[in-house]
Amino acid sequence: MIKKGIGRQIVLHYFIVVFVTLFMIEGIFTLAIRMYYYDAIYNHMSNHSIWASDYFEKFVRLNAERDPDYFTQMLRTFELDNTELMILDRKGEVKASTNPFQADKAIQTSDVPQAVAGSVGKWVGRQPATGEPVMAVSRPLQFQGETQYIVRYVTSMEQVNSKLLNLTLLSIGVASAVLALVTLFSIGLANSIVKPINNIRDVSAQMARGRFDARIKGSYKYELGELASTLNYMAEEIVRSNQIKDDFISSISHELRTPLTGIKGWSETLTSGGFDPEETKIGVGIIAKETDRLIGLVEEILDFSKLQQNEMKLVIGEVNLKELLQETMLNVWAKAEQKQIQLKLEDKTEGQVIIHGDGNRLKQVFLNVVDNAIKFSHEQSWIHLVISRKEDGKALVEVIDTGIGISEEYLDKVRDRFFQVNHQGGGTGLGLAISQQLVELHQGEMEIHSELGVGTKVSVTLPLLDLAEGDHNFINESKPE
Amino acid sequence: MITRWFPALAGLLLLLVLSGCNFISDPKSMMETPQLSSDKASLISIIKGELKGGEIISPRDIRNNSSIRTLDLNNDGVMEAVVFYETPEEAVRIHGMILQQQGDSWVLKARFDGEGQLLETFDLLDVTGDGKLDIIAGFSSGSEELQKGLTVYTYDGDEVEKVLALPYSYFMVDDLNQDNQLDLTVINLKRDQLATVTTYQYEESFKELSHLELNDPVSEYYNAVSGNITPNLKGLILDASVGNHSAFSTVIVMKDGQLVNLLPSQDMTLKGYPIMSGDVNNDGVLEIGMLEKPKGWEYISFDEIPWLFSYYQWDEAQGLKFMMQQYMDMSGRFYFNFPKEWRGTVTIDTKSNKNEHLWFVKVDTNETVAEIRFFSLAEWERNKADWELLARDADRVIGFISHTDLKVNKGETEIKR
Repeated sequence: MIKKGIGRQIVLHYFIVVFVTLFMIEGIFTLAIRMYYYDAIYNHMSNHSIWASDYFEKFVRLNAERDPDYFTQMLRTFELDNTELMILDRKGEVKASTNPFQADKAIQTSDVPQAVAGSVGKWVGRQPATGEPVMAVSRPLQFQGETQYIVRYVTSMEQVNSKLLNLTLLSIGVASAVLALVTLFSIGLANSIVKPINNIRDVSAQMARGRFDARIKGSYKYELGELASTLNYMAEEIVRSNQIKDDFISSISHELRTPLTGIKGWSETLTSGGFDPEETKIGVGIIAKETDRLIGLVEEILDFSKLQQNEMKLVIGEVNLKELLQETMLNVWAKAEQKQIQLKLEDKTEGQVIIHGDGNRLKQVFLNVVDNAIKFSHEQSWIHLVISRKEDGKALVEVIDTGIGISEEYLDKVRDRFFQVNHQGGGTGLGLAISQQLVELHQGEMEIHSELGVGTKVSVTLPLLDLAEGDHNFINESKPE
Repeated sequence: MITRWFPALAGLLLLLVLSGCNFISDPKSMMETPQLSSDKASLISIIKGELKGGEIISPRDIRNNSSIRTLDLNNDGVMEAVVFYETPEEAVRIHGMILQQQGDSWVLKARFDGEGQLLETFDLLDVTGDGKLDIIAGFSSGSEELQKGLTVYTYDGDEVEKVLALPYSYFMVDDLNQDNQLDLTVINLKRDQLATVTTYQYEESFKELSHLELNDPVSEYYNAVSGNITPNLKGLILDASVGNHSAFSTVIVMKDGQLVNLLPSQDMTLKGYPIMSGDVNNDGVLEIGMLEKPKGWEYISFDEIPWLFSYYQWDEAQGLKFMMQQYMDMSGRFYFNFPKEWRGTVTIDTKSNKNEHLWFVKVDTNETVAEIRFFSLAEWERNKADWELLARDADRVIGFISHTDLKVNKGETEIKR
């Protein structure tokens, strides 16, 4: 009816739970109802016999055993509708009975010895002659301090048993109906869980086949909702990182091709053309410059891959941050001059700012940041480098430009690998990602605040060297985790 | 799927609602008289069909008051059923019917007429000595004063023949002359005048075997038993009541085919209270019950005496022979057999009240050997650790305490009941 799967499992569980519950209730009900009927009948006979024996002892002659009417009177006193009444002696021999026949043999059922022992005996079983289910209740009659006769009532339980059977069948019917109803109900309930799961499974199967544009639709609750949104997010991320990778490949090939074209062109010219010394000098210079550029590019990629694989080794030492910044400024001076950009170092500290770190790597970070600032600044503008101490024992370096800025949508992504707002500018898109990771290796933070068209502020926070313990950390090689 | 289930469910629900009114019914209303086995049921239905407005009657007999007897009457291997029924509107009021089993069914073989108004007794015994059972029926007019009528019927498979009709007061079927053939002893009592005891035996017809006249004026025989008087001789004991509650016993044996009255004088067995004779100690020989005053109670009024019952057997050499003694509560609440060694050595202290407290003391030393005491239920709770329970009724408990090794229901000196 239901195909294999979690839905069937859920329905099966519901079914089992309800079935076991109903089965137990059914059992208890059957036992209780049987006990009720049997006890009621037993009490009816037992109470009647109590009343009758009391009456008999009080008002009907006791010491008239030779009276021919003795047993007749006894039978009349004890008579109870719908029962067979017997008067037995201590051996179980039938002395008198409402049954007109002479009894064939003594009654041997377990109620008789109980009655002989002085208590009310009860026996449920089958009549030997007819096989009819009966209940027998025996009560002793005491004369002269001892049990002389036993009053025994026998009634047929056939009708009661069939009534009990009917009741049991009826209750089984009701239970089955309830079970069917609950099962139907549970199919509906199972669907509410199974449908989202199936949906998510189908979409994820599509994703597994490479269709990352597929999305899980519909809003689900709780864990399923989280699962759906996680899957959707994962697909988006895969698409994005694919995009970034493609962009990287295209930009890297562009970056590689530009110098290679120059190198190839000049080397061909030099090979074929006459050897004009001026021309040759220019050509070889360009070849060297383009080669440097290639080397830089490759180193950048190398650094990045090292950082990626956590294999970057820092040569840790004491670094004078102010000196480092001045060196950086000197390095980019020429480039800034070209765009008529003024660089200015604002020192808001007193004395030296010493930090613990790898000078070359830190310089690489600031070079990259300042270089970017120059790259995206308008001509004839200012770039401020601000160094200050923070209260929590950290140094803060801010590089502030008034360039084109970064729109909010890109701000989160500029630090991603291979990300470039536009690809015309050249470069790999790795610079900021590398810088970010280098700063983090120095237990520092890098933050970018930017407003489109207004300018960008890059803040680098680095922990200051604690002078008291500076000596110990002096040559430590920090191995990033 | 759901649409397919819906009608079924709705139907079931409807069934529940409609059957709700008798879902649980009174268990008592479902009790039934147990069925008779099929052959008995068919016999009853056939008998009822043959009754023609009559009604089955059962004998007023303490020994056996069942109304339908099934036995092989004529010894042919086929069961017959004998039943008596009454037709109050007819001249002959009581009739009998014999049916024979044929396969699973029963067929009416014979009808016969009874006598009188009431069926007193009804036995199936071979008194004619032909190996076939005879029907011995006692009828009465319903009055205690008038003689009852004893009738013996024989049945040969087709017809019922009345072979004997006699007036009787009491009768017993026994083999008094010990010739291995049952004989019939009939006692006829003319109230306060005389009684006759006659034994009949069947030889082609019922012949009188012996006849005895008892001349003591007797108002009633309250008990008549037959059996062994001595280990060798059979006879009967008649317990006769005279006057208000005096009684005496007559012991008759059959000796050499003649009935002999062993105790012609009633003085020997005279007693102030009607005690039943019979085989009290279950040794196969009948005992004569006697009333005995415990020592020390000679001058106390009859009603206050805690009487002892003594039982005697007849011994050919020494006459009445003591067998056993018991203390019998006159209200029938309990009785208590004396150990043999108590005879003559233990009596009841005269301070005893037979409805409150009895002390059994040694005659010579006045030492108390046992006590019987009546407790209220509350008193019994306090004393039941020491006393043994003898009997109990709704508001009183009778306890027994022994100061010797005598125990209730235990040991050689047990209290037999």
